[in-house]
Amino acid sequence: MSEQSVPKAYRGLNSAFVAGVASGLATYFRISVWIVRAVFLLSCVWKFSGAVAYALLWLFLAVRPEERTDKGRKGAAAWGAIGLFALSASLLVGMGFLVHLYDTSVIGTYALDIAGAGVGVGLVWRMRDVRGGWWLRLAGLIAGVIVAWVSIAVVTATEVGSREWSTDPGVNATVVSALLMGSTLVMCIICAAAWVVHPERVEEREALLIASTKADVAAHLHDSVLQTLAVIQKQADDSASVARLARAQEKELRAYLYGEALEEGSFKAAVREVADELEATYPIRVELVSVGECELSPQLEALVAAAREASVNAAKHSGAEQVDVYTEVSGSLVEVFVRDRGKGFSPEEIGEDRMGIRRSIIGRMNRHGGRASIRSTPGEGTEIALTMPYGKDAGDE
Amino acid sequence: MSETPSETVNDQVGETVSQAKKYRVVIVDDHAMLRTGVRAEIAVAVDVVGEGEDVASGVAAIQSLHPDVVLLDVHLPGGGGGEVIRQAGLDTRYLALSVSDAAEDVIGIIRAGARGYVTKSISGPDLIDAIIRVAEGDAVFSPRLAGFVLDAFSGSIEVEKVDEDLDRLSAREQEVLRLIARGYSYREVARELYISIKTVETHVSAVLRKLQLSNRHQLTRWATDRKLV
Repeated sequence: MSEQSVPKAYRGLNSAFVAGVASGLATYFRISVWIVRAVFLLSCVWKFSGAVAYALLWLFLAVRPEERTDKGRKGAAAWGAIGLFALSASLLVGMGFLVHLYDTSVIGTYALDIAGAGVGVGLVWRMRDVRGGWWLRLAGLIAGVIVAWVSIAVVTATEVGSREWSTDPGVNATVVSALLMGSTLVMCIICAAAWVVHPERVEEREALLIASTKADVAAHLHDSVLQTLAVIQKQADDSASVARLARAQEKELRAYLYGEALEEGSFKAAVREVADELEATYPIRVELVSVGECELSPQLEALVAAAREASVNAAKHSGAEQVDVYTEVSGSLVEVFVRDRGKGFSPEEIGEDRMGIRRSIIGRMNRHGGRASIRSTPGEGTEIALTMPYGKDAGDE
Repeated sequence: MSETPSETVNDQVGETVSQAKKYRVVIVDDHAMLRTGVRAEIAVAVDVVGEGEDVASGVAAIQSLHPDVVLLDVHLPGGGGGEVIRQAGLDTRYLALSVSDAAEDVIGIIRAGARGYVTKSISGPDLIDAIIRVAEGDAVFSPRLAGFVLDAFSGSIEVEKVDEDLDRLSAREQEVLRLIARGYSYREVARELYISIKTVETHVSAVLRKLQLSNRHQLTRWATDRKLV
């Protein structure tokens, strides 16, 4: 994902002498590869610093993606890599010889062995990038481990063994073998580093993460949209239920895509829940508009219940296709308007069959200190207005 | 909406269509199916002269055809509806059409210069009505847009310096918006408040202007935050 935005340095195996670090950097900085190689090589004279820098870059730069699995040239590439590696190994050892001559410190004394250890570790690391047969990689690994270990062992045995640690020769032998084991362990860790760090694998993991996000979306769409579409095809001639299914699905998908996460236990969430339930149960569209938000209180629960009853009434009796629900929280007052453009009724008609309005709406609102007013004109529709004082901190805002 | 939507709308449509030529409309939407559907629904009352499927083709169609109204999808490949308005200029009138009810989309396209916003679930006659309104220079507010505006202009946004003219809604404007949010048509709002439809249109256009010109950077922030709260 960052490939387009930020240019990234890669190792270029196709034109590699050792591990493609120099050719990768040359591409990255747009300079000649020979300049980069010369810089690495010359800086080796000072305590192998060029080699150390090279090793670190090797460890943390990934191979260029298109060169990772080049099946056509794998055999040739493997042998070529080993041949070129042998060439650079001899260069490195030669460099070690130079350091050995002009440097009188410990590094200078053991320069050839350090160069040898570097060659061994390099061989082990290089085998990770080789796409040849397993036997080739195994041979390279074993050879690398042996070269590295022998070099390390020579340094440890000579340097450590030449010192007197104690008057007791038994203690001396123990110290030397302990240090030998320690240095062997360090060498093993360095050899294994390239196989553990593996920057290509990090990139692959990122790609996998993106792919799995895509898979999540696909799975969601499958469970919801595709299933609904299948059901809709089966019920194609029942237009009312097709509309209901489509509406419910649209709502669900919209919530998934750009859902406004409503807080649990808030007034808005409660009203939204009622609207969703209504749309799922009745063939009616609920156009819900909410302004302002507050916490749900027992009074507001009563208000929501009354609003639900009003909407159910509209859905059942009005014959309208849509009911508009508007809620507003303003300072000390919460208002809900439920409106339909259905057949309407005259207020004196609120008889036995409309007990819902009397008891569930007007009665309930009055009991909780609120007010309900109903306006209905036959042929034009009905609007029920519900008002409830907003409990605890009334008049606060 | 109800059983008699065509009646109520048709007499409004009739008022305008009978005396004037049919308005020329360009539809810009990336879904061919939706373009076809909308075209079929509105072809009785307006002239659909062209279509666009992304920002580039939309801008090209607008600049070569000079339509009266552009029906503009909020989400378009190449930068969205707002980008079309910026490139094609404000000589044309835009009506935003969207499936998304996200506040940031709605507020965003209005602030880019659209004169109205309706959702794609709108009925054919209502859409025709909205197109004609926009063609005549009025604003079209869906209940949801009215709700957003009320929310945005209520005390919920903190402003250090309020420009009285642009950053507040007058009491009358609030009344009009609340009725629209309750699902009232302009005609019904007019009857409810004992004012003429023309006055309602004036109020709504004034609100549109405030919405577009208000210095409240917070307005956009508010719209974005609504997704996260």
